Amino acid sequence: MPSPPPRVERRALVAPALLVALALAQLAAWQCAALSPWKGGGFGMFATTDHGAFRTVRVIELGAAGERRIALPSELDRLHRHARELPREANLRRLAEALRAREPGLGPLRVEVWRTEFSPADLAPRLVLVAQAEPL
Amino acid sequence: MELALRVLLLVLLLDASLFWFQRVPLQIAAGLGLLLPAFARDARLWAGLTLLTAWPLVWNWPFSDNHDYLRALTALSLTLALGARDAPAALRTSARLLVGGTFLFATLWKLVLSPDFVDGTFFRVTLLADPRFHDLAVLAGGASWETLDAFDAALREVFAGRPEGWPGAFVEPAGLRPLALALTVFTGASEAAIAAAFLWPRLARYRNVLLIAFGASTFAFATVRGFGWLLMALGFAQCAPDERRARIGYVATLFLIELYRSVPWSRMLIDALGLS
Repeated sequence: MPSPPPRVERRALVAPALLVALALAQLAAWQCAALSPWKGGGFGMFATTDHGAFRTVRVIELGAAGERRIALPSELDRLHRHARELPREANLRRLAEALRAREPGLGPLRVEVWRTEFSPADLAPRLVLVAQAEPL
Repeated sequence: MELALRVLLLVLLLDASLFWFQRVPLQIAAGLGLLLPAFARDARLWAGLTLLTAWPLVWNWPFSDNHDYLRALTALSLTLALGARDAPAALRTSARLLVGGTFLFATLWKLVLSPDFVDGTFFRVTLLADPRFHDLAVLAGGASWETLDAFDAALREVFAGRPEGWPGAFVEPAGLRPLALALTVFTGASEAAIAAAFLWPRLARYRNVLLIAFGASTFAFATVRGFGWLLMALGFAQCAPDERRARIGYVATLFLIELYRSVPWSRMLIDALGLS
């Protein structure tokens, strides 16, 4: 009579189960907070053009005379990338607050995050709004 | 199992985190494990390595790459396997499932969740925009350096808020679509096949050949060295004791991935063919 297959020890399944849990959490963060598919441990790299290089963060001052785009200084690069990769409201607000701390004279701000869609016909790029927060 | 531990320690030593304060402690611990074989078999070393690979995921959130997560999970699987009744078997199971899970989710993203991958747009854009793929675009996609520059310039115009700057001087080369289609089919099919082979016992005999072929081909251009090394090390670790040739294949591919990165072979080929 053949011997039964050896039992898999539960401890061997812990790391793979964590991998699945992390990947599912990444999917949820992508759905709910527009986390970049390339980030977060869900193995979405090299699957889509929706990643940091093709996302744009814009900060706009809402003045009485109209809207004015504000350049982001390199000192805010980490906050900028946070807003770009995970554009939930808290991250957009943090970026606006840091900008205001550097330039206290700024009026109300709107922070926008855009991703780029490419036309399958001719690769023409089109910016699509991912998230925005205002007034900040 | 001894050899698997050494290969995994070598990968941890050579492909550590970006920041020095995350990298140096990890390299010291991995180096000690390589120098002291008894230490390498100690679950406490691997528990330390798990912490040293996991805390940067929190510190760097959400910027870490996917293989950074896989690296921490690999260290965790070693920590737990070394305390198992049958440590080699536990490691083989963990390593196999980690590879299978990785490719299962990679396949889900590519074939189900990303319409721009399925229709070939992802590779058409990536060949033009990602410098790691430029040599391939020139060698096999009919692109010239001027085409790549024109694409970059036209994109910059759009990002600067001047959509009328598209397409500028950019014209998509005729050879790009067939190349992108071939890459789409190859990548989607090979990743799905690896997921199936590592997760479905009936396909077990194809595991090693599929993963080694993936490592030897994909990382020739997608020079994500750390991910390639980790996959080859996990492939090595999940081998049965009698799969000696497969283990040699994994180690050889690990070195091949480093060669791809350190030798500018594709640029030399472009020069030799007069395509520059």
